[in-house]
Amino acid sequence: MKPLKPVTLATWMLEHLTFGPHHEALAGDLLEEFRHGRSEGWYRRQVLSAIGIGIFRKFQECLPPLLFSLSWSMFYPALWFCLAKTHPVQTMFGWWTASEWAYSSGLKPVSETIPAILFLWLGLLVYLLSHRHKLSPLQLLRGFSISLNVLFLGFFLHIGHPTLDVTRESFYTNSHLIATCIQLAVSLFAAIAFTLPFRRHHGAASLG
Amino acid sequence: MREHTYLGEFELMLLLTVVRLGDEAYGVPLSRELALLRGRDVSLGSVYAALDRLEVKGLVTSSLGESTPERGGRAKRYFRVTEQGLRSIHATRRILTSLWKSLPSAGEEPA
Repeated sequence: MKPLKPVTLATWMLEHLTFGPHHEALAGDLLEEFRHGRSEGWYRRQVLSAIGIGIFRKFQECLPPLLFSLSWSMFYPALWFCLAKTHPVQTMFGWWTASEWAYSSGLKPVSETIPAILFLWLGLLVYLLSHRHKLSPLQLLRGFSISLNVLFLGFFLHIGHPTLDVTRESFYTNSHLIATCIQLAVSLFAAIAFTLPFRRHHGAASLG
Repeated sequence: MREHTYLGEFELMLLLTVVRLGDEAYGVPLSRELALLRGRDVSLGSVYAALDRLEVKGLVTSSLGESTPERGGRAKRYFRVTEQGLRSIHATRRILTSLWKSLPSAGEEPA
């Protein structure tokens, strides 16, 4: 029987870099063909082709939620800018900043985080409703929880920050704004990706 | 659920090959048969990608078979066309047949 040593690395790549549900059967089929006289070059080409196809399919699956997350997050600064200019919000901010120390210090995190979280959750609900996904309350709760975790991880890592200084002239052009949008987009995408299964089964909820 | 799933060229060929091979329809004979029919090598990765799509659409089902030492102990995965898959094949054939009826002979002016 033909030794498998020359294609060990290619086999390892096939098993670890392909995403399909049948990658074990595919690896077995390739080995069977190799043992029946196919060359090492043929085997490696097949492995590279399978990996390429797997990556392309994964990208195709991820593209719709990714585009939605990016588009949705772009609205956040504009929405927050409009809200911050409204009379009730201005009144609330005025009242809060005029309060004593313990209360006034709470303004910053609350005004930064709560709108971002609500915006993320609204985005998740809009995505799920627009794609008619039927989810259990537990799955929805998981989505909310994951979006929170990723958002807070971003805060801690200082990737971005949901604080938007609406008084600045360069409000729409600063890099801080771009970082904020990216952080929100990543959080929303993670929530969608982990709430819904990536692989689309017949009649089941899925991405895309 | 859609009433009909119309098939692409490769998907249709693959489904027909699965039907033709019957109980022996797994990756290796499928790719060999397709390569023979098409006259060129077929990537096993593309065969599995198409089979996965067809399985997601409910047109084929799969089951694990025996594992052999020549496969490094990995099990074969056998595919079978479902009732819905057969309906899709017939629906696609009806459409293609009606379209082919208006195909002029080579060298003839189209109507």
